[in-house]
Amino acid sequence: MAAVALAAVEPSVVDVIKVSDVTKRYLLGSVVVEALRGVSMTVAEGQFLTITGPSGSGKSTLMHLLGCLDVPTTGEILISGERVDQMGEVELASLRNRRIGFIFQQFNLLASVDAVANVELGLIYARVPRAERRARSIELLERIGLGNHLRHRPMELSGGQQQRVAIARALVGNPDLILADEPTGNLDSASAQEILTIFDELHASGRTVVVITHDPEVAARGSHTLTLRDGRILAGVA
Amino acid sequence: MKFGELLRVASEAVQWNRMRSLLTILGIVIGIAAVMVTVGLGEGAQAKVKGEISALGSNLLTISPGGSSAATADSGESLTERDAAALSSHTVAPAIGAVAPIVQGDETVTFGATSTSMIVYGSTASWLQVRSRSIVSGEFFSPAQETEGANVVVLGSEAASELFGGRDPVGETVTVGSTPMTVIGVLNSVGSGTSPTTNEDDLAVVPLTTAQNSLFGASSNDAVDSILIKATGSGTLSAAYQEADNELLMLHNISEPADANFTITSEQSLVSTATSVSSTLTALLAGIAGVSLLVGGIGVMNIMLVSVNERTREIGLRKALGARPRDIRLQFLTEALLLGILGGAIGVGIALIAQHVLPSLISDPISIPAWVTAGAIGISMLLSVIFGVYPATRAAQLSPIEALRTE
Repeated sequence: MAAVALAAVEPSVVDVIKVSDVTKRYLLGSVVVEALRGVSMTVAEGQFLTITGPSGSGKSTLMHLLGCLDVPTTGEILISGERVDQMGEVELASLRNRRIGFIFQQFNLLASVDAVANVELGLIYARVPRAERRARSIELLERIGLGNHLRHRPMELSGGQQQRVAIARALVGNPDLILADEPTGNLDSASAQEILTIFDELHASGRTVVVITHDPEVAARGSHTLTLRDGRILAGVA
Repeated sequence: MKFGELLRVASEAVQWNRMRSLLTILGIVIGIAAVMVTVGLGEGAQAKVKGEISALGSNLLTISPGGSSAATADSGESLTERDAAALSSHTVAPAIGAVAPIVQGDETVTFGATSTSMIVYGSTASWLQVRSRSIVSGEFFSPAQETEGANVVVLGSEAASELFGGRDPVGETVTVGSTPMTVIGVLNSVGSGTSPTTNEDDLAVVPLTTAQNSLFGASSNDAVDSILIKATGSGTLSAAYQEADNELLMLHNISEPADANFTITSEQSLVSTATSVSSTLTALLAGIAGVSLLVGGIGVMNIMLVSVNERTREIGLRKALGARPRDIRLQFLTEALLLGILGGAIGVGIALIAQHVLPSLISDPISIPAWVTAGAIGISMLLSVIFGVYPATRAAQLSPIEALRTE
């Protein structure tokens, strides 16, 4: 396995994630669902945190909040010191672009373009010039072992390869936080092991990684683990 | 996102769904082509009509051999001098002011070393009055000269200058075909109009009897090629038409008007009808074509909505990666714009090809002005953007969570 490590991350005194007493309520039809009932947690730089819990525990809601895809009903969230719970849509978009790299269970690659174009997608919105985008994407794909598949479209790649393209896409913007939602959920066990090895390497190189999973084996890989139940943190770091 | 970037993403999306993109723009393609060809037909008809009006005599009816039905279309020499003489009677046809039977053919006219080919008309002394022409030098031939078949010729202004340069040709002798004839007059100039085949200044007129005896050969039944009739006034044109029609049916022993072996056309009424019909028709067709453009625009909106639905996950992903709502909106607007430009360009291409191909099939000129081409492209762009706004806004307003959740 090729080393995925980018340049070593500068240590910083600010926590990558700081969540204080966050609640999230939303309407499902006419029923008010209390997805999170007061969650507080911090993720320091360089941690590999796994968040686990049964379905309906609020994992996904927490992931959306940590990923700045949504804002909490009450409480405070700071990402790398930036207060995000009061932000509007445009500011959130910019923050996601700069600070967060997403990895999804479904890979979410664009079927119509090749691996390089998929990896560079976020850099387009960061207004990085085309030549630099290409160079960074190709370099990352080569490091992650897809140097021979730069021009391949997602349908020409295996599941494991597709998820590696997605990891490259998450890393290319050099974000403060890698946020993965069931990254091995759609993979056979061999591919899943490959992907988890990459996560280990990311952790080793000093990256901050948060993985949401219901798979105990995946949860055990983290340097820290946190279990959610009924919208509250049951155990782990807080 | 920069515009170049937007255009690249849009063209990728358009190419990725080639077939669907093509079907999407079909409405615009057809609409644009239809509008342009329709306007082109209208413009072409107007130009043609304008050219014809200028070369015509007023209050003129033309009787030509051959009926309108298939059985009578090829009646050959059905018109005679006798017909013309009968129509000249004021008791039979009070609305007819003057009648000129015509025989015609192309002849070579020679003066000294110069010779040129032109249409030579053989007619009676009333030709001048019927065609509303005048003499600028010398005189027209008299009824007496007509009866005796004098070898005299009257030249059109262009024919005269071709043969004689600037000199006055009156009194000179030219050879028409192989017959020497004295030039006795020169006609006024009316301009050539638009049609190159009927130059009203490049012609010669000789007495009917002369033409029959010396040029084209007399047929047994005194057949003529056509008979021109001038009504006594613009108000009596339709009366003159009726009188000529009735008289000729009677003379030719035809009881059913539908079986007539001759055709009477009023050039002026044709012209005015053609003008009004063509402008009404143009407006109607342009309206229909406009509606089809509208439908084309709605088609773009429809497909864009489908596309937004289908690409919900893509939109969610792009938002997660940092796309702002306006980035998404611009992306879909650019895609609509690109479809509009493509549709417009293909439509314009088809219309311009039709402009060259169609006239030979339908024998109507098509002239598409440059402003119509520019306008067509502009309209298709405008249309696609207008109909792209709603789908693009829908896409921009999608919540990233909802969009990513969609299977």
